[in-house]
Amino acid sequence: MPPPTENRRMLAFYGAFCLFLSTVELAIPKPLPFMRLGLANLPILMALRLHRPRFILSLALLKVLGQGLVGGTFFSYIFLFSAAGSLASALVMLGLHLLAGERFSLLGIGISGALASNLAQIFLARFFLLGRGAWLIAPPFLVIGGVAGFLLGAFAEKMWDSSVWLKTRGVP
Amino acid sequence: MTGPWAIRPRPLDWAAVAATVLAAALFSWRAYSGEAAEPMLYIQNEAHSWVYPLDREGIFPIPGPLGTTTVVLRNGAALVEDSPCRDKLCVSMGSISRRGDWAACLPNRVFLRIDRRERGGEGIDASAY
Repeated sequence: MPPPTENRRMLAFYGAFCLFLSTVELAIPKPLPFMRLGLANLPILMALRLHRPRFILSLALLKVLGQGLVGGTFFSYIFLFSAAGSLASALVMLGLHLLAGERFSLLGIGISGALASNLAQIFLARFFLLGRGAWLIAPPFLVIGGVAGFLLGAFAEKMWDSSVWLKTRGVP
Repeated sequence: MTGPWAIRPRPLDWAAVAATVLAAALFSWRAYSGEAAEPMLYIQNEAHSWVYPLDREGIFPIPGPLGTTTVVLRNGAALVEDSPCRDKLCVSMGSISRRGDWAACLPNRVFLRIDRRERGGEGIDASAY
């Protein structure tokens, strides 16, 4: 486990990576209003095996703030949806990693994180925004999110396998 | 599967896939099940809901926090003709005409859906019908 000062430096690094990926995601055209690929979850997936839960949750908060700033949604209700989805996703990914360990690869953790994020946002939409209409958006939202989570998790797993930089960060 | 992009899923990865498929199936059942009834157009903004039979024709200005979203209902199909949002995803979604279809302008908080007629109205503004 990296020492405290190194931890702070790494948190800033991963946070900046989240901010960069959030900006990249903004440039990708979306066919549906609710669709989000969740590219900014990649640093969280990468950090799961290297850092403590407090680090992961701090990173998730930085990601939420960064997405609100670069997306211009910081003072809108969309920020609440983004925050709920991101925090639900981070908690589920962290919990599964801690509880199931090696029985889950980053592939399964990525899919589970996407599912948690989407469910949190669907239920928020059901009770605070769309009413019954939320059930209509749920199926495409879940399928697209699941595919995106699969691809992101697969990428993270391959990156974990092949990155020399990650291997020098202190693999447990 | 071999090669540089080979993926080796672990046992619980399949459980995550199954949970996602199950959730999508349950929500599909929740959204699309029920007796076949005359489909209606539901339009919602921040404060109100309006419901129209699909055989009606009209142009409906729907107010939202950014301005007015223009919804057109014509020939049994509805579409967002214009909205004051940045990306215009709602406009590019095109027309909706079958039960389960929807379109939304998230920035202006306007949501359209085609659904069966609801008993009790779910807060529908009766004067708008």
